[in-house]
Amino acid sequence: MIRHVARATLCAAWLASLACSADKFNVPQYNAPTITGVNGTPQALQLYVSGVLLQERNNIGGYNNDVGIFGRESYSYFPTDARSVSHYLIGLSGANNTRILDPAGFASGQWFNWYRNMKNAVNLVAFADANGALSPTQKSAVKGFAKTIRGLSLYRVIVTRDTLGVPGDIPADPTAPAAFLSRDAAWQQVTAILDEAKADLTAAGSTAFPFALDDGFAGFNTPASFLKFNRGLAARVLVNRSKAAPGTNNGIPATAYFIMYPTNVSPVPIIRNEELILLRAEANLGAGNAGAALTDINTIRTVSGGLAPLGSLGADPIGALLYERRYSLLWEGHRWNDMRRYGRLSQLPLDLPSHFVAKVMPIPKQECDARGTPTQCQ
Amino acid sequence: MFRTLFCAAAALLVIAPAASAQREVSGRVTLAGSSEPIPDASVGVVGIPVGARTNARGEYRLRVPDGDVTLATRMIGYKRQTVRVAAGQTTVNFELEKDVLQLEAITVTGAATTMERRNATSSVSQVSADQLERVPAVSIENALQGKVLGASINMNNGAPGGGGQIQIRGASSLIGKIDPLYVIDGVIVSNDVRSNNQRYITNSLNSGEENGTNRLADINPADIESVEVLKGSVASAIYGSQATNGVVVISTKRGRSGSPRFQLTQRVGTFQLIRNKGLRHYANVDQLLTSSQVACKTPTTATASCGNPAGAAAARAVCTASSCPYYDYFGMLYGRTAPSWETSGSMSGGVETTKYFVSFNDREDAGIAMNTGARRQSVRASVDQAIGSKITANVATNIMRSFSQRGISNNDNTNSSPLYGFAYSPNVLDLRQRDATGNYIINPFGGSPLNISNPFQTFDLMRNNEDVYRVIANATVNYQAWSSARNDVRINVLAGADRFSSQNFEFAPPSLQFEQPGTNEGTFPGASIQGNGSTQLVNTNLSAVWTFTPNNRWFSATTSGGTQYADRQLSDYTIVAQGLTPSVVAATGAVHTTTFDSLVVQRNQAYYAQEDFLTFGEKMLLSAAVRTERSSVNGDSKKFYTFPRFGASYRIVRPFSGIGEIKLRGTVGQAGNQPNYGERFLTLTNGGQIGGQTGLIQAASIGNPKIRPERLIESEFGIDGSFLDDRAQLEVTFFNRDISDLLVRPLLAQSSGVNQEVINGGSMRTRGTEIGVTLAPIESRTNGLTWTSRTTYQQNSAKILKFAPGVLPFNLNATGGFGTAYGRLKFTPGNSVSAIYGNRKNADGTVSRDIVLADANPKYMMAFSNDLTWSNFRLGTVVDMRKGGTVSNLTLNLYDEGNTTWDYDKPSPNPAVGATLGAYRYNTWAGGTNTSVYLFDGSFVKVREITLAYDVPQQRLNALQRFGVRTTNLSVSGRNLFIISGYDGFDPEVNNGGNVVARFVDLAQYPPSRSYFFTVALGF
Repeated sequence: MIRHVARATLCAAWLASLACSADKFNVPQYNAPTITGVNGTPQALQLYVSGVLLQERNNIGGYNNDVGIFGRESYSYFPTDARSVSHYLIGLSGANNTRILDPAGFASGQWFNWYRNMKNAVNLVAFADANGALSPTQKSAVKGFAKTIRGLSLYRVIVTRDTLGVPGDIPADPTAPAAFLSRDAAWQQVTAILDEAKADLTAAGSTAFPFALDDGFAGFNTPASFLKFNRGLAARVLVNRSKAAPGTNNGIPATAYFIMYPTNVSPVPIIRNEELILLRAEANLGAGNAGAALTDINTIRTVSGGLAPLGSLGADPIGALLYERRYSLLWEGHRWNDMRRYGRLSQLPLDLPSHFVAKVMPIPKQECDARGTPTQCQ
Repeated sequence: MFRTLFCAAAALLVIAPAASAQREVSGRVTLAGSSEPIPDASVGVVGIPVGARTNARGEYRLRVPDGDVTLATRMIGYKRQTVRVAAGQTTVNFELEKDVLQLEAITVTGAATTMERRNATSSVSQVSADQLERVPAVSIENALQGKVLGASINMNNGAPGGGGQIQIRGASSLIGKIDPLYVIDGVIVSNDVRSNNQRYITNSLNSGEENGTNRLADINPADIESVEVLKGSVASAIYGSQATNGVVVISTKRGRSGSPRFQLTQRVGTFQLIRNKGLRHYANVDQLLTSSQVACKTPTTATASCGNPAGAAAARAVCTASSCPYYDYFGMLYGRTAPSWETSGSMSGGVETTKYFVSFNDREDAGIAMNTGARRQSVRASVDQAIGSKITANVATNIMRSFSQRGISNNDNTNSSPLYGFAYSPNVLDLRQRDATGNYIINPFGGSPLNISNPFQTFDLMRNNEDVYRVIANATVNYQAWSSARNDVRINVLAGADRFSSQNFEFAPPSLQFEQPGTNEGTFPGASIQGNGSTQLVNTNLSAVWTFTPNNRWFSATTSGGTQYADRQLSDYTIVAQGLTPSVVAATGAVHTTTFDSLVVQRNQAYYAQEDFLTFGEKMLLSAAVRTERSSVNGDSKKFYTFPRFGASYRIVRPFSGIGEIKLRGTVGQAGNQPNYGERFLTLTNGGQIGGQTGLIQAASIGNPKIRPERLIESEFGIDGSFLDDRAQLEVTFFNRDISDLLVRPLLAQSSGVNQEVINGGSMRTRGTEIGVTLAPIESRTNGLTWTSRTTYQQNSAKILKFAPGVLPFNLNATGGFGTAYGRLKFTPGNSVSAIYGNRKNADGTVSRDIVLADANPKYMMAFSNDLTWSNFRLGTVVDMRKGGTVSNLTLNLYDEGNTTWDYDKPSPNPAVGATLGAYRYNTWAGGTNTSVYLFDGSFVKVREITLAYDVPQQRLNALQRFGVRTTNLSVSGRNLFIISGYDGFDPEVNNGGNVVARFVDLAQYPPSRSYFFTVALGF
């Protein structure tokens, strides 16, 4: 009797434990979207497109902040952490008595996020290619959009790393990073990506985008009109490429301040008409058409600035142009690069003797470590 | 295979000898040297499973076989006694001696098996109820400090309500779980820390910095019968892939038969700041005006240009050319000594078939700062019931409530933590003052007039409450399937559950200075955080134990096996509301709200088998076990991972005169550490919304569908000996832990668009030594004078051996320290796990960056316990010592930066670098180019416990006896009474990031306190 009870108990329990089927152990991911869970759904395309737009938006604040500080357009007042000043304005001693920014410090940022958005764009292109629901022209429209933003992201990293050069491609295997390109090759790569995007947008013809763009793109939200945005960026790249608050903080006085982006939902421009006119003026200056340049600059002065037109550009026409760019494009991420590409970084003010003007943002330490510290790393 | 085994075991039950004729033996068990009865002692016949327990008068009655028999009696806390009983003898009395060296303890070896400690094949650490209860503690970790050989136990800070880390045998994982598994009466319980999302007020970096409480704090230490710490591979056969970090097995008190006994304990006491370094004494107005928080260029002229004009005006108003007021801000905010109390009681009793234990506890700790404190309430009931002669069942339920108010502390970027606020506020103003409208005055100092807080206002108006309701319940059924002279088969079924909801409420009203528009936090002034987390753990075990002893008694073989299923679910949601309308607490109507919702589900299933073979007159034990299990968190949830263990011990009895026994022991075994939930999935990241659309972006850290548990192989060897007529005991243990398949989170080249991955790609090794010496130098029966002394020494070091090809050194986010400027962990092959990396300025002026500067791991730790009893008095002390172990003293860095340090004006070693000591330190640190300046030796000696107890003699209790009082005990006790340390700060024990693999960051913690309690315990 006892034997039977014991056997029955043990064997029943054994069977009960087997009843815990394998499916019960295949616990899903509850807290984050999985790639397999998203890709089969009709919303997937819009989610990926919005991701690309969102990443650009999320990055641009930090980018304008960083390059704004380097270009002495702005200062960070963050008194609980002295590194908010020292890492941007004081830096480290580099080779040959130069000063550099700390590759492991605060001012090495915005590297990952721009590459992450390039990866987002690459993911979007791959998703569109594999998506049977899209017509060939719709696929072209998606790719044209994705590549335009990818080009823009690559522009942001080369403009901040300049002479160091940057990797130009997104590898399929994240443990095998792409090769560094020289500055000039990287600029050419930006142009090439934007031109590829142009070809895709053109191939899309009169098809509408198979997704919605946010209202920052009002007027540029079809492949045909988005092409204008693409060409605006391409123009900026070409022009840039041709030359190759109150209180005190860490001793920096401030008596006046202005507010540009009052809330965290304020629009931050990527590119505006005003910049396109200034780019045309700069191109005309470079081509020796001083008169045409003066006309454009005076358009900016009178229409945008409410100032009197200039009679001439004077002895330093580039200086006059940079003056207009400084105020027209204030805190839109241009001043530092403008001064650098015309070799005028030394004209930027130093508030304390310990400060310096960074020439480039460093390749972050993590990137250097992962590649065994190539020469681009300082 | 198991099926065959079980059914074979069951089949063996048919072989059973017939019962023989019986007679009755009775007698009494008392304490040697007195007539004091020992209730609940077990009396049995050696060799056959027959036994009885003594009643409240120490009496027993037992049926034994005819003929000569040997009776043995034993009781935990006393030395066993064996008596030969002749055929005709019917009365046998026992006089037991106290087992001060714990030679007789029982230790856990399997899910349903225990064994005598003297045969254990590995080192055993046990803490008894008496050791836990003597001095009141905020939580169990606190009560265990200095008492567990092989464990490093530290409190994360001094806030009321607990929050501490137990680390057993050093580091054994980098990014996997680092806390031991906690098991109460067979129920796997949660020790999670729930994030209170305070980082939305402090703008700190992650949830580790929020000064959360790990939920061990809910358990009432007075309910605990014993705590056993399973340190290494000995735990593997019981808990497999959750056992790498050790297992803390807690057994609670159960009912004892006999007349009902009641215990009522009342405690009253208080907490007090343990160390107050004070603040800077400003000499005169000029000194204050030139300090960094006022920053006047030419202070002597009234029109001087000052960086902080409001601060300059305030300075001129209170200071003169020859003096400044001094306010002891630490003493003012953390100087409260409000009454704390604890009331607890228990009731137990029953008959042989039904026994019960019921207890309650209500405790309130008043924090040393206003509006901080902790309340713990608990009710517990346990019933043991015999059903027929073969089945016993135990059902226990514990209902707990923990409520805590922990204020605000730790890393901070809004200056809301008081130690941040004070650092940047020269202490010349009474910040408790109110202005004409009744509001707190504005603190005019700080880097920018608004970006500072008034900590008195903060602690008066801010709230950080956590309220936890919890139930832990278990039901256990034991079935004695067969019992004979040779065979004993028991079947054990256990079901247990741990369920709690933790509700938190944090509120920073918009009127707080650090919430004003223009501050870092003031984008949306005012914050309210409300969250609720529900945790549910359920486990069921089924096990069978078969003990076979042949007629010739050459050996006894215990075969056991079983299965376990465990389910764990955590659901959590929080609403963070920022931008509050004054007087509104709810999130409704807030300018900006953020919500979190998460669900974690994990399931484990395991099978295990074990064989313990005891032979050579119980001198040799051979033990082997295996456990195989699968888990839903592994990449392949169907795959079983197997963890074996082998152990042996041999006792050499009386090898020489003066040596009672020497035991050689060794165990080699494996254990695992599971991946975290969700790591096996390839996911996308929700980036937020744009233009009304959700956007999905590339995950920064990619998952790994091949993820599997880390695997620990531990070998442990040791010698235990008892000497000098059992008055001295020595235990020495060496261990080596090799961990392979180490979970790592290497950093990738970010230009790939991916930041990190998680893989099994490394190995590490931890080695250590544990030595314990227990002495009973005085044990006098005549005047009752006894002195017991225990000294322990432990040392371990953990080294990363190698990483898989392509895996680069990586660090833990802010929980492992901040940037190199402040010192941080960086896991690097060939180096210590706890190596602190930072920058060093070389003699030639160049700076070496991100190099190893120090190690957070202590060189060794020691603890000294002494108990002295004389007549009715008892004096107990526990002293804890740590030698070495570097601490990053960032609290000091804050005060040097704010020019407010206690020792700021001491003479400078080099006036060319800084005019005073504080300036010298800060300038030498030079923005983090010389990290070592703030890396300090964390050595300390702490007097953890002193207690003086007095058992009131019966004759003095006449008045109370009328109310049924049997015993009265009075005691005065203190915890953390003194700290002896050269450390230049509050306490080197704290840690900013909570429970971390290597602790070393002191950054604005709630200052630790000492406590004193007076206790009256009445027994009825």
